[in-house]
Amino acid sequence: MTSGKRTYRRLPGKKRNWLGTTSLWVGPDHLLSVDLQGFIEVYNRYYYTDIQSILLQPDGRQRRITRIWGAGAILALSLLLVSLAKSAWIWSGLWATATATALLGLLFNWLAGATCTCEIRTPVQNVRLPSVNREKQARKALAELRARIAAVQGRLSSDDLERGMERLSEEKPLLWTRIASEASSGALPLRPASTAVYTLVFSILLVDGVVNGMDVFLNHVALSIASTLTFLALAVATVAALIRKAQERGPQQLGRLLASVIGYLGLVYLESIVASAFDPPAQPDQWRSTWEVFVQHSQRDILASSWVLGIYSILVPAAFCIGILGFIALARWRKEGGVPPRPSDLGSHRTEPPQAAAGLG
Amino acid sequence: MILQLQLSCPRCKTRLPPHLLNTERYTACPTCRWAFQLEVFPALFQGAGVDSGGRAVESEGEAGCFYHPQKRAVVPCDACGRFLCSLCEVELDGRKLCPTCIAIGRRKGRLPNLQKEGVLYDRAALMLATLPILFFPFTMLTAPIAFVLAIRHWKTRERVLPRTRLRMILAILLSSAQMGGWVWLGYLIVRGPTGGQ
Repeated sequence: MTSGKRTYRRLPGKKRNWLGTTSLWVGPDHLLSVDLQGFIEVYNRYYYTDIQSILLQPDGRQRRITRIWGAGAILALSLLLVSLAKSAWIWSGLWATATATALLGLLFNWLAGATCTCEIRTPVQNVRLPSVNREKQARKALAELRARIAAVQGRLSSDDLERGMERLSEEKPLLWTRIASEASSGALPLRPASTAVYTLVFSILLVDGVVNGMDVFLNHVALSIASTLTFLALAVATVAALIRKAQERGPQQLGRLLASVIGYLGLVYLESIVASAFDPPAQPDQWRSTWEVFVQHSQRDILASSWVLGIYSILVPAAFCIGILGFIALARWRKEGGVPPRPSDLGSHRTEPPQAAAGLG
Repeated sequence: MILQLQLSCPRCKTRLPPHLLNTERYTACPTCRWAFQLEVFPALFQGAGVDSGGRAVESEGEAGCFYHPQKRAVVPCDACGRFLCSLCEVELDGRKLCPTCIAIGRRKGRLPNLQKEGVLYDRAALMLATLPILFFPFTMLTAPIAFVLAIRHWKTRERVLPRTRLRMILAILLSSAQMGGWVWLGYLIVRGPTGGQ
């Protein structure tokens, strides 16, 4: 009865909660789910020989998280602009930090990918694995598990699968009341891509590039106002585009371009900080109206400051590059097809009520 | 019934055609269009063994199970050697064990695969050594506890997963520093502001 040394390898994915984390580990003959609750780890083992099936389903959590971060970003950005208009520098710093945090949250949520739920089914239980909650992680975990289960149980060929299902339908024909014979393909039907919000983002970006380009050589208050407005509009449109991106799986290139737009916004914000550092108000204690701030901003000589000029030399070409690449990506996307249907959309297109559910329940 | 449910759409419970299983990507239910991916393994189609209840002893020369003498023995226990019927045989860690050996092994902690939970003493010690720093007077009490906890459970291996001793070392160092600080403070108080002169 001696215990051999066991080696476990962690699968991708971790679910955090208030007391600890939940993670998934693969062992030599079983899958180990570790639930850390304070100072105690609770173990659940699922032996590869017992696992009958694994079910992955997309869920709308990423969309909800994006909405929350997006709403936070818009709110913080609005407060930042109000603070800037009132020249409340401490509050401006606070709201700028909040805006950056919310934008980072959006970025991380987008980088983590679509959310999903994962269930393991054994002869006696259906267990949801909370640590596998992102599609990217789920695919990696599933690939690992598939190989390990196949090593123990063997592979299930399509013939074996059909034979097994036939045998089951012969044994319990009444339970399967509906045979999905019309399904000739498992591919998801595509719906037309809605590109309006992305078009808006890339259009504003091009306008911003033009305005910033002109701002380098011309000193006019209208350019300063236009630059601020385009920045605000771009931030709002980017949040809207990120929400849309979370709702539907568009091309990856579009996602990268949106990430670049967030980087661009960060650079514009950096430029405003650098500019204010090099061009402080003449009388810091004196309250200035928004108009006065715009006037002072428009009168600065960008060509005189190497820092500001350096940032502008990155900003303007970046705006044009991202904008043009964005339009190319959108055109390609429209040409190639659309996006898969959302689960919520799919649910509304049910052709018949599920009678089988009543029979199986 | 569970078996049928496993081969049905998770939403509308319609039976799925075989080509929608094991697709390695999301697929849609042909009826309700719900998106999912269902990986099915051979264990799904393997029913309970015919002999799972244990067969009765039929002839004089057949060995009977130690726990059920009327049942035919199929395997000896790898730990104690008792004969077991298919009902009593439990396969664990690649060995065939009887219920008594499993109970003993579980009680003595010799079967790691039956361990349900583990206490993380290193985490507890480190928390005791760090968190009370925010309310430093408490460290007079918590630092010795953290130190004792870390030393006492230095070799305890309750956790199934691999873990370094870094937390233990940090807990010992921090709690030692805190205790040293309190000793130093006590010395200063006893000596007085003039240095005992």
